[in-house]
Amino acid sequence: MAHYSHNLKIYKKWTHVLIVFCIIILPIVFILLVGQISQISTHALILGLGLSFYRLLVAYAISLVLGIMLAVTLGHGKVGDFFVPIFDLFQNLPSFALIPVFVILFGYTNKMAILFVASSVLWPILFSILSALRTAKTDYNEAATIFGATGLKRVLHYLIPLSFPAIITGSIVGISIGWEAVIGIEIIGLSNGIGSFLNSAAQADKQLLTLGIITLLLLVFSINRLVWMPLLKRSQLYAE
Amino acid sequence: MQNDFILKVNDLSHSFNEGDKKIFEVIKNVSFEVKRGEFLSIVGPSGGGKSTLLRVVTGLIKPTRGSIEVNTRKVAMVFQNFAVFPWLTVHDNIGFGLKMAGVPEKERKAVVMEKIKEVGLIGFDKKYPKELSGGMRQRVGLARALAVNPELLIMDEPFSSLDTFTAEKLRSDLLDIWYKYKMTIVMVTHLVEEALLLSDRIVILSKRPASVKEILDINLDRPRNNRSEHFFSFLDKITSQIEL
Repeated sequence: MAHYSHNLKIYKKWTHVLIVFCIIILPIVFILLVGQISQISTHALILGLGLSFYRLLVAYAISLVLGIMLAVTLGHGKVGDFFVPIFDLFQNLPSFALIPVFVILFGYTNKMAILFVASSVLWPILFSILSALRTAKTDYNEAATIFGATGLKRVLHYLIPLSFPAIITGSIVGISIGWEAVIGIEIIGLSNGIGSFLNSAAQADKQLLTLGIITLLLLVFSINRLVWMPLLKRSQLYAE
Repeated sequence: MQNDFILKVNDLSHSFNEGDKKIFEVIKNVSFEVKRGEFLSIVGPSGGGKSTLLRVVTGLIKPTRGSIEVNTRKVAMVFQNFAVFPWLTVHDNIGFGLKMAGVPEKERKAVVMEKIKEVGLIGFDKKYPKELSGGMRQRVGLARALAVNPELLIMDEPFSSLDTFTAEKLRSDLLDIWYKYKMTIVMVTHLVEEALLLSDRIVILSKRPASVKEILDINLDRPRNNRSEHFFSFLDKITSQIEL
């Protein structure tokens, strides 16, 4: 969302660095420290968590771009009246029911995991944006039109900023659903990632299982505090 | 001679389709012309199709019948509920139209700062609409419209959401701006006194479906005195024609 960079001053530059540092480094330091003290090998945990996080991020990026594109192109007016019920049908499909289909298409691969996760992250983001666009004040739409916001300019300078609060709330829900999906698919069929790690730790080493869960919690918590909360706060500015 | 008129509304009718073959007629056979540089007000009862008429004029709504001739491309609009974007600062709101038109940042900034001065928002350029009062938000709305240097300024009940004192101040500021730029202004209002204070001509609309009852030349001297006998006789004349 480079387009926001000039006016989305949630963090100053040095804090940005600090945030990235916290998200990535904090869980790792925690694991290493605990590992050091309790003499257990934590390599697999770090790699597993990293891999799952990577899958989730890629899936989220796909969902975000796709969600915005679908909402903006098919979301409003008569086109929207036609497409929204169709989206709703897909959204209501339990995502785990699609696993066999994804397996047939891609096997139990990294690509399959990412696409599967994206298929569940997409919906909260899409519907959140759709409702923001469909309930936008007519005034705003008219002002944007009168002052020349057409085509791509309308998307970048009107529709996306307009749905920014919805993008944030949709993302928060989407990411939490995404964690479930990524861990679920890893437990079910993959031999790597945090899900698979926890699954095997449960059978072998209860200490590792506990450590894994705590680390995961720490990561989820820091993302929430350091990324979503400031964005959510920023989006409150949009409410009149 | 086409340039005499900046706007020509020819036998315009508009109906909304309320589904199931229900048709809701809001405007019926409306015709009027707006001369270049004049201040024209459209008055009529609430919910009588005045706003719809403006939306047809600006091209936001396609009319069911009739035609609109607009002899300029520089049209701007001021909205009843301001419609300033909450995610933009005062500065960026005012510069919105210019940005859409591709005016480079430096040039845009110069125009925006000039308009900020003109509407009395100095020192507020970095504020967000949320931090402003209603009157100030409408000043932003007005500045945003002025920034594109409009030849035709459309105003939809611009002072109706404001308290009387704020509205009064803003009205006199608007007149100063109009004297300075001499753009054409078409304003919709339900306040007869407001229309009388500001306009050269007043179009009186009937209740829904709106049709033109009368078009009055307001030959009162400016600045107008809303305590004069002449003013009151106009006021009575118009008020008696507005159906409730």
